[in-house]
Amino acid sequence: MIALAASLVLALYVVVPGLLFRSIYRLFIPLRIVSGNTTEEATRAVMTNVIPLTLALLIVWYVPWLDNFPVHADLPELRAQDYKLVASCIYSEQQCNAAGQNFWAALNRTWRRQTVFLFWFYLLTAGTGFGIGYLAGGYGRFRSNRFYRWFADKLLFSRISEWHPLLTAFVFADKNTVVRANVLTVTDNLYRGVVSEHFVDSDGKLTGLILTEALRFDRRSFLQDKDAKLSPETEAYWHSVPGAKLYVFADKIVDLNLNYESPEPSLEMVEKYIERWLERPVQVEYSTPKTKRKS
Amino acid sequence: MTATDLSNLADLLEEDSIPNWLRDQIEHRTGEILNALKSGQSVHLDGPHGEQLTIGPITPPNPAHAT
Repeated sequence: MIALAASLVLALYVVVPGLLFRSIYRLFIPLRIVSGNTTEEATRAVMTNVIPLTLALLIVWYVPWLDNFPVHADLPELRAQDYKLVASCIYSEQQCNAAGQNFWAALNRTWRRQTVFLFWFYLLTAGTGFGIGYLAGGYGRFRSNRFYRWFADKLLFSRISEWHPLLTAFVFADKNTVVRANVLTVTDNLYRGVVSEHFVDSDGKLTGLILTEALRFDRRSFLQDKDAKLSPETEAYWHSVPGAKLYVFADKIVDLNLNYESPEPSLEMVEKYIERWLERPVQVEYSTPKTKRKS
Repeated sequence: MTATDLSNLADLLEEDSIPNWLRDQIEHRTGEILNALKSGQSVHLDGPHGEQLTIGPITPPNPAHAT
């Protein structure tokens, strides 16, 4: 009986809130990008549950009207006494028989109180999952705020798999940013294309990536023409790879060269790049069909 | 990722995150742009989707407004 009650308590107060939080959080950001050992995951789970748990307790203890929703839970002054009776009856059948009708009355009040508590606990857990998911998913938009940066670095993404920021537009405010990669494999093949998807294992280690618009560099012909002193133009040796998507196994990758193309970069970014390339300060005016900006 | 904060990595990645056409044109027309800037002129670059970029020399501050 005790084992059954303990399992029920564990499921209702730990497992279900955890699943609820994760299912809402993952709407904003893939869960697999946040790695960590069991202790860190347990700590994170406790931290994310502490706030809704505390708020739910405050509601059921102190907030009139809300402490009787969605079911009516009366006689709050008997709360401690009821819990004590129910716990002792679960522990001992003899005490249960001795308590008689008092046990059933206490159990009735107890399940009503717990229904109220769990309702608010689950609702607040869902809200916390939504809030933290929104903050995590909006990293590119919010990271210019220094308080948010600290919060993200120390709490939200203290153990993020580095592949997610490297291979997606996650850190960019402009989500249309394209990640282009040049991939050199152990078989000495050089590919380039747009990184459309990547895969990591449970430890956050890269297992593979998919390139679209993939091209393969014809190194053999290039070297032959180079030896023949034909002054080859490297762009002419890139040939498209048959098939829409090229999967590259991570263990076959020797070298990965990444470029990020933001269709609408900030003026500051454009100016910095030009000044660094030209090695002199310049004045820049940049406009897209939608905007016009001047430094 | 523990050796560096995500923010540091994000700053690093954001550097040079500019459109390919812009990068290509700057890199291929470096000489032309530098010559124009030396002679005090601006250079206009056009992107494939109607983007326009003008690179000009830094305008010296107006002496009339100097204190």
